[in-house]
Amino acid sequence: MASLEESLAEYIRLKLPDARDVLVDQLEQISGGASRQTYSFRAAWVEGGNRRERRLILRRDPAASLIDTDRKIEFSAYRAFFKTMVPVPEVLWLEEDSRHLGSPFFIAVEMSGLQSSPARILMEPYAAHHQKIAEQKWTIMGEIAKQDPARLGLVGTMEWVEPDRCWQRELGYWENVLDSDELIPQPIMRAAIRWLRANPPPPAQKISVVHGDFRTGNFLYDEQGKIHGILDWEMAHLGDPLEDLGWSLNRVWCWAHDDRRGGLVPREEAIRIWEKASGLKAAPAAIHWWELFASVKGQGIWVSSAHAWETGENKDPILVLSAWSLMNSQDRAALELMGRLA
Amino acid sequence: MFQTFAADLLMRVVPAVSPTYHQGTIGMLAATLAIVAEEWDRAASWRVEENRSLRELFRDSAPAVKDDALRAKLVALSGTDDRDLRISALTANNSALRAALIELHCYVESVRSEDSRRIEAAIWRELVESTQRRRLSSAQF
Repeated sequence: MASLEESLAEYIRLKLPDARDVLVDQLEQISGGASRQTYSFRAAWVEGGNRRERRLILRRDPAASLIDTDRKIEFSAYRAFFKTMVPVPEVLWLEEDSRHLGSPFFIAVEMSGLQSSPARILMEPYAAHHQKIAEQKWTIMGEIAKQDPARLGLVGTMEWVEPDRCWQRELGYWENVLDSDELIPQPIMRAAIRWLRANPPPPAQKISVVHGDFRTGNFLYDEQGKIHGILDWEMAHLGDPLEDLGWSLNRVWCWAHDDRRGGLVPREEAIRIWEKASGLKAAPAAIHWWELFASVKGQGIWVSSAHAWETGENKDPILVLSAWSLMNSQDRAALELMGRLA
Repeated sequence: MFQTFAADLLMRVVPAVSPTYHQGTIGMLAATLAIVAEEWDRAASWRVEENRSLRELFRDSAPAVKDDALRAKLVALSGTDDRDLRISALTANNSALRAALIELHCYVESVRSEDSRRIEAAIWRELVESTQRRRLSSAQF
């Protein structure tokens, strides 16, 4: 049976028919989100008499993951945003046929020498740049909101939704996840869902691409506090741009154990940056709705990760750790947003 | 004991392991062990306390519930107990009680009466308390 290196080299030969002596080495699994297996590797080949070499990233589907998503949507989002002001890695090939590597995958160009850890961002030298990182983080999020999904070529790849239906579609989806995957009853989230249904938000100001998991931990930054790449687009979809803002404000991302959102700046500052960049408004009632929704969505993810681990679909420790460490915090976040936490 | 295991993994094993991905995995196992260490001592205690609290809430609420089926369920559940102190048994009882709590919460939200507001306030107090019982010392919120 061929090794993963050999299978990758064979695949690259298929994609680069003029390449000779293709070699894949330095293959190493890396942390790259919980929904796909991520590997870093070096590919070298000879083309037109010249030796070429690139460091690449393989994102391969596991048997079961924290988030069940369509890799074609993730690949299309990376490709669409590559030539915009939104920094993303360049993606090269999407392969949905499992015969090459045992499951579908895509390959991207590696962005080396950068950090993504939400723990490390709290330490020096990164801690000195929190305002700068926050300015970029929520400005990039605003830039995603500003983009026209049709001009990006993503309408069709991503399902269209009318501005007054965004909230219903997303809430329905995550309520279904709770229905199917919860291992123990979730009275706080069920109360939150009833409140969200009884108090719908205004229609979306526009339909935007929603990254779906834009938070500290899902972008690459350097020691000078510059953000180089937005990662993990596996939950990208069309919808209300306030959804991304609400998700980024989620209390469970307060990595510094204080009120700074994403471990960076206070909530109001994050909203100010986003409004300035997007040209949109985060009306208090509307963003409140999307923040509470973010708690339901978050709990949906933690519940489904616990379910995948408990049923044996996937025994990656990140599933049990994320569920165990975040479910109660997510409940508390919802209680706070519903005005019940003194 | 589990805290010691977790510290050993982080301080001695992680630096000796490569590649980085496996360091990350061991770090996650250590973090999970640290949670187990915290839960080990309190797991039965908070479940028993919460189950007792929910039974009392049902006992107090049942007379004001006009829905016969729900009232009968609350009365029945308020008469149960936690004889089996294994975590799996306590969790099963807790799940049954929390499922009924959701039903009661839905019911009182739909009924306009002083009793319903009183019960609703008691439910919210219980839900807040439930997150205090489960709160981990490492939680960011």
